Amino acid sequence: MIDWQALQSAVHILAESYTAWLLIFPGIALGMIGGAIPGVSSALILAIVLPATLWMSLLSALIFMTAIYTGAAFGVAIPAILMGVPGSPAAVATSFDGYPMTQRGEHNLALGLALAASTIGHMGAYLILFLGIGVISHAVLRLGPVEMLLLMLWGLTLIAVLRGRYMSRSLLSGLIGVLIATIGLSPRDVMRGTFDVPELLDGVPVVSAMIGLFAASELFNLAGNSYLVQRSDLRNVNVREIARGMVDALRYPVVILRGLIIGATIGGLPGVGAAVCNLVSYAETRRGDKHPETFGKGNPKGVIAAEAGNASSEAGSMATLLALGIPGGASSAVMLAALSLHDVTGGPQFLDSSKDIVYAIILNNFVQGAVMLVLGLGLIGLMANVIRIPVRVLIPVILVLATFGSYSFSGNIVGPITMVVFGFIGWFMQRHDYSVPACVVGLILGGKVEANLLQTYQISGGGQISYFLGRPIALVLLALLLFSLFSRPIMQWWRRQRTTNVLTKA
Amino acid sequence: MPSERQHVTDWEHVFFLTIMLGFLVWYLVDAAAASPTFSNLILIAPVGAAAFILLLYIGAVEIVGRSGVPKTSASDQNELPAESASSRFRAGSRRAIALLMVLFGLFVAAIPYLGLDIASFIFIIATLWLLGERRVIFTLSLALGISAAISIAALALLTFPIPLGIARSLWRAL
Repeated sequence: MIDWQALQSAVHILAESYTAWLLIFPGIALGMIGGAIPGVSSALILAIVLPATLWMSLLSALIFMTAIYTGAAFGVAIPAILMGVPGSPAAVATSFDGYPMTQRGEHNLALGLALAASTIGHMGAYLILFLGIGVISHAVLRLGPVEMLLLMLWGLTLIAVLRGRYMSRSLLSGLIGVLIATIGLSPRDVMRGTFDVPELLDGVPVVSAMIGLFAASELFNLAGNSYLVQRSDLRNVNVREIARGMVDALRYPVVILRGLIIGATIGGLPGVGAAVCNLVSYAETRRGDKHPETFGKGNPKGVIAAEAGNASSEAGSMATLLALGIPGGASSAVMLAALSLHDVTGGPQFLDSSKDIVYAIILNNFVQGAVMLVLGLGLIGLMANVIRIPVRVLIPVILVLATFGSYSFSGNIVGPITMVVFGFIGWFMQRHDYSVPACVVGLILGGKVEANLLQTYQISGGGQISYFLGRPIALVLLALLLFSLFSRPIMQWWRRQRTTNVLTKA
Repeated sequence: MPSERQHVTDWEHVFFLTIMLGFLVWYLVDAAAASPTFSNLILIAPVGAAAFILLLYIGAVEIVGRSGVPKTSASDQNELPAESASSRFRAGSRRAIALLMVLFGLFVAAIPYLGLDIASFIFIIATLWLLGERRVIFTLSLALGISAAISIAALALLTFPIPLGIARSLWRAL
């Protein structure tokens, strides 16, 4: 479990390396501000600062990068709450309840809830990493495509949860999202739906499509309104209210704990990423709640669950990066590049020989959580003023910034074009009560579901049931998935039956 | 006494469904033509079939109405509670929405020709004017400030070239 000698050495390294501490503040601020711009992902910010890390020590470089990662993980939630525009797919679920809270004038509370959930999720997940980095890395190695498929399907079940007025239209939105996600070169190298455009070989740029569906369509809707929050008396920015939100988050320890366990475990799986953690954590909290119908209408638990899941995925991702040398997503892939700049390769050997560095990073991240709390309180106090800006000013500025972010992400004009096309589609979807979030969930997970489904089919020898029976983790995951889906309806049915029986006897 | 309400088909919705159906059929045909193998269609075929059935169902409900359910008219939908999507469209703003969409499409189309800096400058001025901003100095300052900020970010931070009109020359001159 814990190597006390390495831990002592880590404390010693951190005590001597003052530069590592100095980098926390700019790292978190950079991540938070960058993450708040739609389309500017943590991976992009990390890639921009990557050359600068060459002049730092390995520890300083990793601390600077994890600080950016930490800041960005929360930064993406700010526009999701204030404008319904997630900074990245990792904050999609945050917007479901965060934006309705803003529309009700509860933006201060929502930001406070998100900041606290993000900080606790971050620190809690690093605590899990601290206690069980070895166990986590071994567990990750035992997961194959079938387990990944089940996790993806778990995320996909959110489509049914995200229903608007019409279940059929929400399901159709999700299915269309899944189909759009399969455009491009298939896992078997077959070109589908690309119009022979080479830029579409990698598929539809998901981030640009998401910005279009959420941001552009919502901004189109706002044309004609004066402010994001209509009532002028609710349009205030109150740091005390934000702080109250942070305290309020502590009233939901189960929601936070569930989110951080989901984030720390699922976030460690290569290729899964914070978006899935955010969605699964939200879906599970909604399913487990006594009043699921209040979700999507400004339920504080929705914001807490989504942010705890998102923030805690970083620790999971770091576990596989450091212990196995496998990047969990784009951001940790850039970090892997930073390691290689210092002639270091993550993996079991690194974990054995440099456990003190690993512990130093983990310990530093506890401090990062505390810094984020303080810095976040100040920064979101400033950023929340966006609700005081007239909509006529916000619309062109956000659209230009989103276009820039989209171009930066895709590296060519396909990103902005995708954003425009999906902006129009999103507007029509909203107008006719089709669920935009369900479509985005399908878009995020569709490609991954197909790849893992195909691999599972091939590895299992054409879907042989004996293959599944020989994989206990898959069976446990399947049982959990079925339990999560059907336990509530079954319980409700059973209660109805019991009530009917009692009434009949009476 | 409840009044007998007539079902009114929302033809705009039917048009939207037709577009989706067109995409679905085209994509399924394209995917099958690219490779009609099981491995290529392992996800697309079942998802496409489910989407097709749902499209037909939603289309049928929209055109003929649903039996056993009180039929609502398009005008009734405009009077739904606050969370309804329809209610978000305030009277008189449709023209602004349509023009904003056109402006945004033109802005993105102009980027390769004018550059992001000039296209952004013009787009911000045009959109502010469209949405009712009439302060000239404020409009010009905002347009210039945002265009300059994204140009500096593109030139100083990004490793790949973004089309820029005059910002690159100015950057080099400075």
